[in-house]
Amino acid sequence: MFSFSHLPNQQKGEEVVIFLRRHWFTFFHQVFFYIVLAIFPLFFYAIFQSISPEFLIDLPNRLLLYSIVILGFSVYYLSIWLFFFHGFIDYYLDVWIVTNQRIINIEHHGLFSQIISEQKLYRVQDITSEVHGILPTLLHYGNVHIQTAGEEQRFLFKQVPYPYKVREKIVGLVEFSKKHQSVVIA
Amino acid sequence: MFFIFSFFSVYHLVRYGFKSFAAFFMTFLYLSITLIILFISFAYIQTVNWEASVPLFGGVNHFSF
Repeated sequence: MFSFSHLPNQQKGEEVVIFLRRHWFTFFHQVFFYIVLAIFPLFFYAIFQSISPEFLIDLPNRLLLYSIVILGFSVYYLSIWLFFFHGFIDYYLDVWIVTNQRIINIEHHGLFSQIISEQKLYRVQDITSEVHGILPTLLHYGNVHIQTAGEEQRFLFKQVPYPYKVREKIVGLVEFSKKHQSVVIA
Repeated sequence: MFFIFSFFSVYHLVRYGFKSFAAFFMTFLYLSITLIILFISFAYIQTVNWEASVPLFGGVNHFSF
């Protein structure tokens, strides 16, 4: 699933411990929205057929209107499909990776903007997980905030599955990393 | 416009998609459904007689000066 060739600046002995994307339900929202948009013209067609069926029967004879309707449908469905694909890319390429040495945040904003930030685990000061709402509580997803000692703003793992388990795991890794770091300094 | 955005979207997924099955599958699915939509559109468009004169502005489509 994950290729190490894409782990930025991989250190010697570095292993991926946690690899996170947003919870699948957050993408399902978008899927549902686009399905509704795709069904909408069919719904409109059904209403039109009940109101004025002779107009639809006569439509192929009205060259200009018929051409516009076909081209309109084509552009509409291609646009929906393009936006859906763009939504998938946005969901799929936003990842948070926790290794045994650092935290990496990879986010894409649009097609031409990629943000990669990272922080050493021993610089982490505070980790907070939060779950708000009925669905996030039932489906176990929420945010994890990671405050580091650096100038970088705290990391935010958005709508990741099992945020409390992620928090516990990172706390363990941070403690281990700090002990290891103090041994190295001593 | 559609093809430019499609090209960059597919490039983006292939370039940063970690070479996974999901990325490959979605790219394949995207291209397949795009071709199906274009094919259906073309099939309907083909039935239109593009050489027929279309009455515009209440049937006035010949102007003489």
